[in-house]
Amino acid sequence: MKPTHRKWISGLSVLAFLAIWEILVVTGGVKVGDVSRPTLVVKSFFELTASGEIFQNLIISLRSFFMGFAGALVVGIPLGVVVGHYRRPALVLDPMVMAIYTVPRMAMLPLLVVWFGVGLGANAALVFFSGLFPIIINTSVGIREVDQTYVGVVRSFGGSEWDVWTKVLLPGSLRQIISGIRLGVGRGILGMVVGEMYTGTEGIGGRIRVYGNSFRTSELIALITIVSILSFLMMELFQWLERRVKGHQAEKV
Amino acid sequence: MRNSRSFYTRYEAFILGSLGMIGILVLWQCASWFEWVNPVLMSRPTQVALALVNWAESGDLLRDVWTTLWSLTFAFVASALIGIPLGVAMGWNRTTEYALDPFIWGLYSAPLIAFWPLFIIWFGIGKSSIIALAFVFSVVQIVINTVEGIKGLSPLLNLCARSFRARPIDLFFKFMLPGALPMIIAGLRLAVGRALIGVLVGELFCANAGLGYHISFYGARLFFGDVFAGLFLLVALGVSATQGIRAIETRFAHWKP
Repeated sequence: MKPTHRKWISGLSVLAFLAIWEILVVTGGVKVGDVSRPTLVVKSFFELTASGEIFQNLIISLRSFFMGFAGALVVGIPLGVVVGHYRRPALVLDPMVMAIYTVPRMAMLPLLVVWFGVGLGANAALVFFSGLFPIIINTSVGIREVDQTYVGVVRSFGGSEWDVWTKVLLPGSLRQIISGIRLGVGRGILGMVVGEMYTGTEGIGGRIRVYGNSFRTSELIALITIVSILSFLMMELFQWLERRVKGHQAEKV
Repeated sequence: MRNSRSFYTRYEAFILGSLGMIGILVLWQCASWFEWVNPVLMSRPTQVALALVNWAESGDLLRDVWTTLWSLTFAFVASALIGIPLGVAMGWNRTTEYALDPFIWGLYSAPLIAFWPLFIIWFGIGKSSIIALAFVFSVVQIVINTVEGIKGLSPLLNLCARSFRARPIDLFFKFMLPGALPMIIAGLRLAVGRALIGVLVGELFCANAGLGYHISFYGARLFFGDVFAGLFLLVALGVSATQGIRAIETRFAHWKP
């Protein structure tokens, strides 16, 4: 089957899904209050855009996301490097990282709300903890998987520790690090939405809760779609970066 | 001397790891004891242990664990029963795969918790919504892994089986299922963790029993010893569920290279 078929079939099936949804509701098979219908969702999407409600809340959401995620990068990558490269600290930290890793981050919400305050603080903290662990783990795996021969080669040609890091270890683990960031982004967005749904009425998650509570399904589905697209685009971006780095590496070898 | 040294090298990982854990517990206890941090907001290990004991003695512990476990099992089994056949169908037939792909990947990259208000509208507040959320969380992972497992099978073996006139049912039970089993079980292992997150978030938002409810209830009343006790049990539950599936994995999938 040609690759173009894939697009056709996928596109057609999505269209068919939307059409069946619309028809079922219009003919009265399903209540419109339960599932809304595609045209209404599109309409409320435009209404939300026109009133500026989307952008306003998107900015609130993204602010806590980027604050938390920047923290996760700043803490996660160095910690991952340490765990990946130095044996003893790794042995000390490993059980702790794993123990915290197994705690579902969402369960920490009631604690985070009190520690960091409702709103920006708790949400950013939740994004931080959600994104942190995939970054630590992937970075450490990436560093560990770098072929030690290269390190030996750099050393035996008189390279300094700096050269080992900048010429071998970091470039060699870059792809793993990016893939950790990609996983972290997905979880971070999940954390962002949960945090907002749990604590308030602001941000995309907060609006989702408000519209859900008042049974306004069209707005609700429009917002769900926006968040999903946002998450999808961010993950695509990092997947693209990952492929670029991979191609770059393959070129060098 | 030599002896003790080899003892150390043999158990180095264990010793250093436990030292790290004990260190952090002692630090936590001291920080709370000497009020380097606000003890109300941080609790301390002894308080957590006490909360755990009280919880167990009140009899609520069993009820909460049971509630969470029941929702988790229900959602997980249902998602396996639906996800595996769906994944096989998608891995087997390209048209099915291409048709369902956008939905599966859409659900995979979407923050599924956003669907929670919809579930409330459809199923009402209560257990069915919690199970539905956990189901969606886990089924996506199972489908994706099953598809990968089936697509990774050698086409040559398939051709061989067919040229010996294997019936579709033989193909399914003797070729596809055993061949894709390692991937499927790996998917189940990931899925059980995701299902637990689904149950937990559902219970955090609304429930009257379960670990998530316990955490949310005591969190709102600033009884952080009880919150940490809940987190602790949650981790124990998650780890034992994952380990249970890992045990099945070594039992059934060990022949795979």
